[in-house]
Amino acid sequence: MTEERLLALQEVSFAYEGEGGQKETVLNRINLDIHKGAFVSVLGHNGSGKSTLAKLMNALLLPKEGTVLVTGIDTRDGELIWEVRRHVGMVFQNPDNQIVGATVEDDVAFGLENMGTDPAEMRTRIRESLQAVGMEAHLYDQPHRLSGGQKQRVAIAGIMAMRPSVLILDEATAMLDPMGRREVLNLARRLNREEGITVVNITHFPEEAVFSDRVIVMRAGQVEWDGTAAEVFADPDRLQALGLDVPFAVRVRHALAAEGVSLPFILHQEELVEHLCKLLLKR
Amino acid sequence: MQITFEEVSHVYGVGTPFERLALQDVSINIPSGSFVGIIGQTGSGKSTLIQHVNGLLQPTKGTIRLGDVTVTPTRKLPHESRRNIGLVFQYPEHQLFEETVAKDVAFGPLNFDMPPEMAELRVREALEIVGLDYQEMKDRSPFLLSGGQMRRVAIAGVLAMQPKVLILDEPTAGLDPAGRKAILEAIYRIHREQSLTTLLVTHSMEEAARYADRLIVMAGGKVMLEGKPDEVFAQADTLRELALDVPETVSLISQLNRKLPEEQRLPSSVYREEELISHLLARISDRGER
Repeated sequence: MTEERLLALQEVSFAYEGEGGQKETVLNRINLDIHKGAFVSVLGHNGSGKSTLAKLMNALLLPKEGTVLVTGIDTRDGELIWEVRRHVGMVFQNPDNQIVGATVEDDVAFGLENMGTDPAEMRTRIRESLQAVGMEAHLYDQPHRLSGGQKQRVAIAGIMAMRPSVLILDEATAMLDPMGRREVLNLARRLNREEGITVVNITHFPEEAVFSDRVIVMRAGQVEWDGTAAEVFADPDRLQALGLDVPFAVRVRHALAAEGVSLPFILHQEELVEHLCKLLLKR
Repeated sequence: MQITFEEVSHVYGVGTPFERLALQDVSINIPSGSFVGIIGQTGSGKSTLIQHVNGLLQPTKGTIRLGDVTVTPTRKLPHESRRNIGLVFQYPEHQLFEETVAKDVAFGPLNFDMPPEMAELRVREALEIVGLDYQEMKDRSPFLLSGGQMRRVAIAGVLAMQPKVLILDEPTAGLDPAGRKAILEAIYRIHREQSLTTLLVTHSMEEAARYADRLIVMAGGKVMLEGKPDEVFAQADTLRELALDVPETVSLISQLNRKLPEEQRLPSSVYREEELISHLLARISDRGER
């Protein structure tokens, strides 16, 4: 069914104006479909076009060529731009640049107020979305007193309150400490599993991509690779040549296999432990 | 330059309702030439600690010795000593301000009254160290560079002062893997070549394991653990209580050791990835599996 296709990019190109006025192409004829309920990770080094891709998905940027469809709506349709943004919520890298309210409650209310939501309905949605991100105890707290991970969770609550279809994390964990990073990633995984939210996670951390259904690798404005985590991480040399890292377990397995140790492909550390034990204990 | 803290405490906002004890009785000894990883959660006191090293903050209590200079609650770090201690803040690219890369990097040396020709030489060297081409970069606006390039320019600005102590507050935050590696390798190289004493604040146990020869683990304004990396990583339980990770290498070894008979256990002092792999290879080939 076509409505299962939540996001569709068709022959999309985008260019910024460079230093001397020349055009710098950031995305070059991208074709991509993202289906409802998917958890997609997008990897790529700085300047590969990842963030531009994300911004095209919720009409923060409009394609210079080609078409971006969000639940069938063309993002260039100015009349429906708010509908597009309600469907596709985005969390950015810096937790301090996206908080607008004086309290957590105000902050989550911001989008709803903009939509003119009925006050009673608004209170219900604020409570529900803060519960969903595990921040209900902080309703009246000042956002600047929260940790980075908590701020990002409040930003996600603000998006959840709009009942979106897609949550885009644009390097939302890059500025967090390991605990904050885990908080945000676990939340995104739970919202995907339990609430059916489609997640697009743009990240530099390969460990975050291990749990996705699909990994898209960007390079110089094009999709270099599109497959399952197992498929994409099966070739660490190719990823490392692109300046990208692979998960630790993949790296160790690859280094051992290169020296002739027979090991199947491994994505998770538990599998690595199991296989290594077999090898070390075998007589 | 040897750095010692003796019972150093720091209180922010003394006498105000916001009074907060940020460092509590910190005693550390950093031998000259060390590469020290400073680890801890956000709010653990790491930034307060390093700001004492370059004299931005003065202790409320205790004594700090930097080489032969002593800093106490009543005695400041002298101005001329400050140039010996280079501090690269978090997101240093936010502090770029000049119209060209060369002017930005030259700001520090010129500010300390260095003759312009000499400053230019320093700028050239500093940009080379961080892997940027002087001719190509010098006249460009720092604001039109990529994030990784901006960060390198900012670090070059500190290196141009030729400090003896280099302090970096999460220099790789927000960069992609290739950018992280390039910056850390450059720092490590200059650390060795110029025999610097380097303090690296990081959230990444992997970075700490790869580069540091000493670690300081902070929590709640106190030093919780201090020592060589293998000594610190051996305290996995304490690290976990502090919501910190051990490096993936250490966690793999401890998981393996839990399943292996005692005589076959891997040495828990291993924490570098290459070392782990060669250990595993040696064990596996002993068993004829290769």
